[in-house]
Amino acid sequence: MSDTGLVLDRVTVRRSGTTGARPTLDGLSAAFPPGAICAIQGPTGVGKSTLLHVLASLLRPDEGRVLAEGQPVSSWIAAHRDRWRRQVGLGLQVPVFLEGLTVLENVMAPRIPLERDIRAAVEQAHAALEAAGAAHVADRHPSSISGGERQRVGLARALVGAPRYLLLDEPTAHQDDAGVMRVVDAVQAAARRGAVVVVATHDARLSGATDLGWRLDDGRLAEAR
Amino acid sequence: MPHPIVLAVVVLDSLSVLLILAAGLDALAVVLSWAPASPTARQVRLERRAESAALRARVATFLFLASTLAFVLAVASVLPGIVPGAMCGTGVLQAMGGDGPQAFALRMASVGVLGAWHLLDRLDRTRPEAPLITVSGRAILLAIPLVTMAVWRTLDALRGLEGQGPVDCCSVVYDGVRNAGTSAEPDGTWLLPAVLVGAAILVALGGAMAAVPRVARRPFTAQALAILAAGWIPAAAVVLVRDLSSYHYGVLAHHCPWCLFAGRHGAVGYPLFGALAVVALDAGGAALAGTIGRRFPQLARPVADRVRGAALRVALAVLVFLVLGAGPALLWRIRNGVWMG
Repeated sequence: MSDTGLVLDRVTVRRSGTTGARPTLDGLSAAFPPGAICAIQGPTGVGKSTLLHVLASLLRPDEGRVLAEGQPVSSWIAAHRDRWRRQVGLGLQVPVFLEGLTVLENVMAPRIPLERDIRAAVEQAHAALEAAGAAHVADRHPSSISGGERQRVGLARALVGAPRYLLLDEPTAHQDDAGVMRVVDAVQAAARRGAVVVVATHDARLSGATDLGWRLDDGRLAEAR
Repeated sequence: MPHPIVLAVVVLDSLSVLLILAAGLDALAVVLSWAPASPTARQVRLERRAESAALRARVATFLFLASTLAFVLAVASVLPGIVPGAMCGTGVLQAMGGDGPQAFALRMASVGVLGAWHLLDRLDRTRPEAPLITVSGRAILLAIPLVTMAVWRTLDALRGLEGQGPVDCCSVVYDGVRNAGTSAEPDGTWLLPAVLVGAAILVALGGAMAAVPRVARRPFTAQALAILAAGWIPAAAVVLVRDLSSYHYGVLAHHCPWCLFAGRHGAVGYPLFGALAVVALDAGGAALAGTIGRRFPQLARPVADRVRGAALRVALAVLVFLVLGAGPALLWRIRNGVWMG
């Protein structure tokens, strides 16, 4: 079993109240190495988001474990898991923002507890917004921007601080072709610096940019190439 | 209106009791229902509760230590000026009746248990699977009755001072000397050399454990340090009060422990008895860590680090005690060419 990157080791997740039903994720095993763009594809509602939440240790699997650099992070207690999660950039399918803050402040937010100098957080947020193609909305409030722009700001928030693990859920939603190219450039840059990149998508436009692929269907994961 | 330091003791004590009780509620839930790696929402909530229990217990420990220090300061240095007839803490304790010594004894026991909890918590945090979380939860539960009783007895002791008539401070000390002089017990002249030899062994063993990791890792070395310290501390306290205090006071037969805390004697009682407290806490902590290390092999490395750190502090505290306690005796001998008595 790989001791670098992220590894799923026989992970099973059941939705609450469905003990007898088929698990959402059923004994999944896969390795997501650093430096490669890994795609999880599959139809809507199949459990791609659940899988990303398990990889980010937001959900603990009912069975099996998630290993990060060989360490079983999914079985760690909350205090240690939370600390590990500082290395994770997570882009949600439907990004949620602090509506009272500007876009820039929202992107800065994950870095504020970690940086000694607020100026470093500002610089990192500007760089992330630039990489995600959302620099022009930095001073606006999230409620005043379009759905596509919200998606890019969500991507910027995942990218800020150059996380070791970049987990993106449908990052090309509401994006035109130019927006898709922005996303591809951003994830390729992350992979080049050695990040573990896992993208859950059903957008065929992304398939050319990925290095490894899996198809999630009926709770099972199959290598797509 | 009570003196501000008495108010400080009461407020700090009350806050520490409230916090340790709140920590106890969370710790009880953790001890009863902890299921490591369980994916249930209940377990996730328990992990949060374990964190809040640790946070509350940490603040409670800090407040209790502060209140204990304030209580010692009040008894040794502030209340003697208020209690009629009291020259030092001996008179204040006399005015408090039996509650004062009981309060101190319970406080020492509480500090020991809170110190043990702190050690368990620090070791537990070195491993992400938190192998000691239920053990440290039990330590919090054990601390609750001790801290509560210590605070209760402290309040009783402080209440006992109100309306108290004059005390005869020095009669307590000199009656003790007179009774000792008339008893048929051996004179105990062997105790001073025994304490000096014990100190030398503690410094050598503690220094060796700190300097050579192999010695610290050896089974039962930490226990040997603790057993030696357990015998040495009371003997050192007796020798300090009976033999060495004369050189601090400049008179032969004033065997009063509390006068050592007085400003006129350089408040040397604080570092001297503080050094004994450090020896007790760190030697006990090293023994506890050694036991934990044997039962939880995954903690061997942080345990070894803790044992070495504790051993170093024991050695340094013994040295501080020797320099401050016996230093004036040596100076006297050099200046006058004879020992007192």
